[in-house]
Amino acid sequence: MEILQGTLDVLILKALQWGPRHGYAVTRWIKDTTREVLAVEEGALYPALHRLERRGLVESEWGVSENNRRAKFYQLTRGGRKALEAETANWAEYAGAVQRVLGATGPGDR
Amino acid sequence: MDLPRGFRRATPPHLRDGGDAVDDEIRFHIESRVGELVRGGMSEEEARLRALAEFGDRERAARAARRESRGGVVMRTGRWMAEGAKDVALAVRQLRRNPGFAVAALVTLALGIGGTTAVFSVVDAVLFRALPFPDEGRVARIWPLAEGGADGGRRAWSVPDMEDWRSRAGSLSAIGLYTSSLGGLVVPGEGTPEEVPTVFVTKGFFEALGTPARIGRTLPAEAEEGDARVVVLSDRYWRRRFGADPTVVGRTLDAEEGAFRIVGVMPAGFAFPDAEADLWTFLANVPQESVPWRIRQVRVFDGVARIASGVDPSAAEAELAAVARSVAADLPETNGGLTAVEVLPIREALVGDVRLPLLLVAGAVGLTLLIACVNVANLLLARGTARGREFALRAALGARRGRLARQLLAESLALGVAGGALGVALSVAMVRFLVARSGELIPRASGVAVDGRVLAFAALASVLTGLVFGLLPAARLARGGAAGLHTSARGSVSAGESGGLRDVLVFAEVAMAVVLLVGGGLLMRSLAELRSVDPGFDPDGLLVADIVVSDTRYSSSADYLAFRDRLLERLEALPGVVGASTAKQFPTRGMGEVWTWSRPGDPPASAGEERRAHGLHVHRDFFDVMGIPLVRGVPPGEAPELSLVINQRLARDAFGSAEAAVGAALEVGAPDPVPIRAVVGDVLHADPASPPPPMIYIDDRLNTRRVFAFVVRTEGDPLALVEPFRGALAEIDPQQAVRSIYTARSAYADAVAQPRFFALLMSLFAVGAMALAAVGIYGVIAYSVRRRTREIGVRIALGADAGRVRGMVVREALRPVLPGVVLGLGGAAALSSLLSSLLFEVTRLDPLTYGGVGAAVLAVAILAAWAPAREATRVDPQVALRAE
Repeated sequence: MEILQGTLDVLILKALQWGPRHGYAVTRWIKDTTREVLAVEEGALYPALHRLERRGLVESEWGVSENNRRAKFYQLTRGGRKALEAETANWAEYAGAVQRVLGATGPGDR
Repeated sequence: MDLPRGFRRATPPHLRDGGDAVDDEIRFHIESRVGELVRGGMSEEEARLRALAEFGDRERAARAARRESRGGVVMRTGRWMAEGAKDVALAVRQLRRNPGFAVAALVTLALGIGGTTAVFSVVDAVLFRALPFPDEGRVARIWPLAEGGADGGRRAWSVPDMEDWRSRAGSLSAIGLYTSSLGGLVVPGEGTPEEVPTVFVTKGFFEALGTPARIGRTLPAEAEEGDARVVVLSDRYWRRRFGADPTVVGRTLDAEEGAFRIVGVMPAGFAFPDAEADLWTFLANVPQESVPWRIRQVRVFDGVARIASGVDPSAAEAELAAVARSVAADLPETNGGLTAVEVLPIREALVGDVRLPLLLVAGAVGLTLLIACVNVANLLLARGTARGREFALRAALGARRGRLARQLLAESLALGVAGGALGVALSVAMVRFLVARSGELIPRASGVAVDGRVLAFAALASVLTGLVFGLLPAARLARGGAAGLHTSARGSVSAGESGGLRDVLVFAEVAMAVVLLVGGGLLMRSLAELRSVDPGFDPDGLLVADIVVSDTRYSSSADYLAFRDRLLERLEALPGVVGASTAKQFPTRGMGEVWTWSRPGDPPASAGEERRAHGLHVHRDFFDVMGIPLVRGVPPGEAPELSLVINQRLARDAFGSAEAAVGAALEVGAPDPVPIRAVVGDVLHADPASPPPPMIYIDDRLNTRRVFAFVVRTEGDPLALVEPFRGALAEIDPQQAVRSIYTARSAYADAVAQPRFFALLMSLFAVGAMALAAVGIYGVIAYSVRRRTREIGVRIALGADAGRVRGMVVREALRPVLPGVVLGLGGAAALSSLLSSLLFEVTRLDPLTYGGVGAAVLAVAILAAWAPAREATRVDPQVALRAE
């Protein structure tokens, strides 16, 4: 399934919650965690990462990958952590609301 | 797709950065996917095709990513600054860990930047800062010129001449005369009265200069004809005498000469014609008996004028030349020879003399700063290579080359700024020292201070210095990259590329130091020559006191002479005094009046073209007390009442020899020619570099003025005589002021003060430069020896003689030094033409100086290399072989 643009951002932020990762690792993690249900459109990943960096939610630094290659690692900034918290709360509320609507069994259900 | 290199270089850094980096990111992504697929069993080719297909349009993704990062300049700047701050903090930590290096670098920089700042503040105040005259380009000193006169050139003004010009010169909006040579108003104070240096001016003086008064007004032109007893105070005198009272206008200044109404106070920066002027008042207050200034031929005044606005200065000069010719045509007897005029812009007139020496000193200090930079660059290079391992590691871990270079640069800037701050503190002390020692030598020196402009300059210098010496190691790092550092970090034996660069730096250092040393050396030799010039009299043990006898208590020549004789009697009775006498003026301070002379029977010369000599009224014992030798002639007792004494120069000019002169006579404006009774030795004018002027001495009984310079010779220290002198004077007349009192030596020293000051300054910088270069050489050799410890150990272990090893080290040290000396000597020879106008009796290619400097520098270099060379041979071969 395709990921809506706004959602991609928050997924990336979540992928970085436990430490710095490079772009490919983020893709892999999302694929694995969603059990391949969601596939990141790779063409959208890097623009998203750069956009998040511009907004100050992540910062980047070049480093060495697990197989000794030069890679750019991203990590959350404090602002990024706060945004992730806020977005997670928002999403839960939103998902909950949608779920209640879709779970209604009759027109009068509340 | 890789952008072509040229294009990459042309794009701005943040874009360029984004381009490269984004491509790298995406490439990594693809490779990772390929790797994963291959591990899953696919062939490489297939995996690659699959990965590329999965990714989609790489180019579009890359472009989109770049577009995203292009935005947010503010964010990037913020991050950039944060990174920069981190770099600086790291730099400071690094410096603290290497105190030896940091101290060496900081001291070098502080000296270099401090010296440069101090010199800049002087140069700025003297040469660049605005003069206190509005629209100063229109203000000029002017002189009438006598073309074709015996000593053709500038003449002085007379009041009637100036008035003619004023009415005829349409291109001038103001013209005025002034003189500061008439002494000053005598103002009673606590104790003895004080003679306050006064400038006597005509109307037009203040209008020409244009400087408005700070309080009140300048002299009102109308007052010149009416009640001329008005006076303007200098800022200094206002503070000293009136306690900076703002209500001083309208009050009276009670002088012996009368009660003067104070009309204004000049601002602090106004010091015209010189720094001593404290009062300005009208020439009209000077009685004709003192100076017959209404007479056209009494040409003793200086002139200043303002070119009318809207008039082009060169057009003005042309018109003034025409005016000169028309006046000469109208008054052929009195003005016939004065057919031209010289107009000199006021800035040139005030600072022209000192511009060249100041600029030379500025050049010298600039070179010194450069040498300091080279030294620090060398230090940094050494450390850079020593830290090679650290940088190699960081580069391998992925730190961008640019980032590393930026960090090195941050270190250099931090050093530069810290050194600059220290340097500024140092420069404040230096400036104080310079101003105190230079006195009146440097015009406008009172304006010299370390102020905003100077601080801005110092800041700029620090940053530039930091960049200059930091760029080199940083650039090498950025270009060479991790690979270059890695090999050198292994501590390999060869000196390699780094050694060559350091050799070049030493070469440059040595060359610059040699240039400075030659300059300093030439100036010092010139100074020595100046000081060794025989002044024509014996200056030691001689005290001089200038006294202007008050004309309120003494009214006739007889009175003046009586006063003089009584004082002489008292003085000769003082213990230690060998003799006392008077002249109208003391030779090095002033040469008396200017007289025209001719031999009886000479054809009459036209006005302005007469032969001139200085005329000095002297007491009969003057030559004895001064120690001026009598060349030929008869003592005063045996000569007719009215007779002259002339000096050798005049004797030669007029008669060919001293023998021919004695007994001959001269026309000097008396009804009959006056016989010459004796010829005495020449005495120098104020400037020892100029030949002694022709002098006519006349017994002052014949024509007494009330101005006396008392000269007293003592066996002991003349300074000890100052109080006794004042005491003797007070016994005779407690109300009589002394204009000034000084030793002959100091008056004579003042004459060479300017060359001495500049020679000393130049030499100071030269010696400093040499010391820096020596330290640099030492550092380079010590470092290279340390790196070659292993090689040296091997040589010694293989049986090499310690002496030969030393020789090898020293020879290596001299490798860049020798060509440096040669280039330096050549450069100095080329640049020495700048100095030639300042040299006296020393040629600009003086072999003694050049040879001496070359030998000295070589000796210093060998010495500097000696200690590390000895260290090298002391190396225990076993230790060396084990060392890395």
